[in-house]
Amino acid sequence: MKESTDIEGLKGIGQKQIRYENLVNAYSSWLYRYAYWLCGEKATSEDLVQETFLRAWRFLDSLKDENSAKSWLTTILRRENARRFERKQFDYSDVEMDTISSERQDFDTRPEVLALRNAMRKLPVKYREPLVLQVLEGYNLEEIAAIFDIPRNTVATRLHRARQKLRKFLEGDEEHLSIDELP
Amino acid sequence: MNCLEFRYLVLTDPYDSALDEHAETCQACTRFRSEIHDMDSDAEKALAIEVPDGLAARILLNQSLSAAPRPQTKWVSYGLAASFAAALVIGLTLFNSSPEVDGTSDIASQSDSSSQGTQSASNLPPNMVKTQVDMEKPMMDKHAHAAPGTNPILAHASHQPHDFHGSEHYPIGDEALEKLMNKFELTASIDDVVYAAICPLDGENAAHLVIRDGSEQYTVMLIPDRSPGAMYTVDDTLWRGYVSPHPAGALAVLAELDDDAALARIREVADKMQSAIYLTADL
Repeated sequence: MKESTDIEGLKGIGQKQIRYENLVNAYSSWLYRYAYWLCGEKATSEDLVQETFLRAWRFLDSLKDENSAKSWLTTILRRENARRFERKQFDYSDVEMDTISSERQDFDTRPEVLALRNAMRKLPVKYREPLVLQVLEGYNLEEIAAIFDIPRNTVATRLHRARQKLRKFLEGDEEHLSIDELP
Repeated sequence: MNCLEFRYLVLTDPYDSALDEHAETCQACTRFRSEIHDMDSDAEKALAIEVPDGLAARILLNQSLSAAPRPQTKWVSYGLAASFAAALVIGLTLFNSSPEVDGTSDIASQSDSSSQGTQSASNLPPNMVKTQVDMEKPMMDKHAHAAPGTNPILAHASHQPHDFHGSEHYPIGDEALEKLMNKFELTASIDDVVYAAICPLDGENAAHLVIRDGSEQYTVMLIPDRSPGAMYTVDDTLWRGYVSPHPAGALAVLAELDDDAALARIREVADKMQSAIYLTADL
C-alpha cells in the first residue's frame, strides 16, 4: 500500500516537473520582454523572471487552468517587481533602457521605430504596461484589467492616453511624456 | 458611433470590430485608424527585445537547485548554520585585516612556492595546517590560456551552477554544509557564500565555493595536496583569476570578469582567501 502511494507521489512530482518545464519553455521569453519594459534593465529583468518562476514552482498546484498560465505568470512577475521596490529604494539613474537595444544587431532601425522606442522608454509605466501587453501579446482590455486588478474603463483610459502621448511625441511634442515616471 | 467615439476607441483598442461600421462611412476616420495601426505595428517592433541565450535552461537549473531534497530537519540545519557561523566569526578579524594588494605589481612573479606557503601558513593555527607537498603533476602552466575542457579547474568551474541570480542568496545545502564543517573553516561571512560543495576534481576531492562580493561572484576551489609551486594567472576566454599555493594544496580563485581592473580585484579576493580557508581534515 505504501509502495503504491510512493509511486503515485513520484508520478505527481514528475508530472509537476513536466508541467513546469512546459511553462518555462513557453513563457520565459515573453516574461523577459515584459520585465524589461517594466524595469528597463537586462540583469534585473532576468532576476525578475527567475524569481517569478521560483514562485510559480512553489504555487504551481494553484494554477488550475493551463490556458490562464500566461496571465498568472504575468501577475506574479508584476508582484515580484513591486517587491523589488519594497526591498530597496531603486536608483533611477541606474536605468539604461537603451542598453539592450543598442546591443541588438537585428532590430528595426527605421527612424520611426527608434523614435517610438525612445518614446516608449519615456512613457510613464502606468501607460506603458498595458500598451506592452496589448501590442506585444494581444491582450484585450478585460484580460489586462484582470492582471492589473483594476476596472476595464481605467485600462481603456490608460491605453487611450498612452497612444495619445506616443502620437504627440512622434509629432515632436515631448512635454506629453513624463520622464520623472521612468521605472 | 460618431467620429469622437470612433477615435477614442481607436486609441483604446484599434482592432475592435465595432470600428468597422463607422470606418466605412468616414474617410478621415479610416485614415486615422490606419495611422494608429501603423504606429502599433512600429511599436511592436520598437518593443522587441533580444532574450538572452539559455534563459529557460538557467530557470530550470535554478528551480532544480531550490527544489533539491533536504535530508535534515530545519532545526538541525539551523543548528549547523549557527555553529558554522560562529566558527566564521572567530576568524573574521583575520579576514578583514588581510594586507592591501598592490595591483600594479607583476602578479605572476611575486610568489614562489616557499615564500607564499610560509606567509600563508604563518597566519594559520599550526594544528590546521597540512604539510604542503609538491605537485605530482602540473595542473597548468604559468599564464595559462587553456580552454575550459583541457584544464581540470576550468573544466570544473565551467560546469558549476554558477549563475546565481536574484537578490536572495542561495543557501548552502545542508549536506554540503555538514561536510564542509568537518573539513575546513572559512573566515568569511556565511552570507557571502552562495554555493558550497565537495567536488571530485582531477582525482582529488576539492572544496568548491562560490562567494559573492558586492555584485560580483568568485569561484574558489581548494584542491588538497596539489601545490602548483608558484602562483600563476588564468586568463581564459571565460575565466580569469589565479591559482596559487596554499598550505593545504592549491587555491584557485576565478571569476567571469572582463574589465581592465578585474584581475586586481580577483587578486585581492585570492589574497584574502589565502588566510580565510583552513583545511582541518582530508576532504
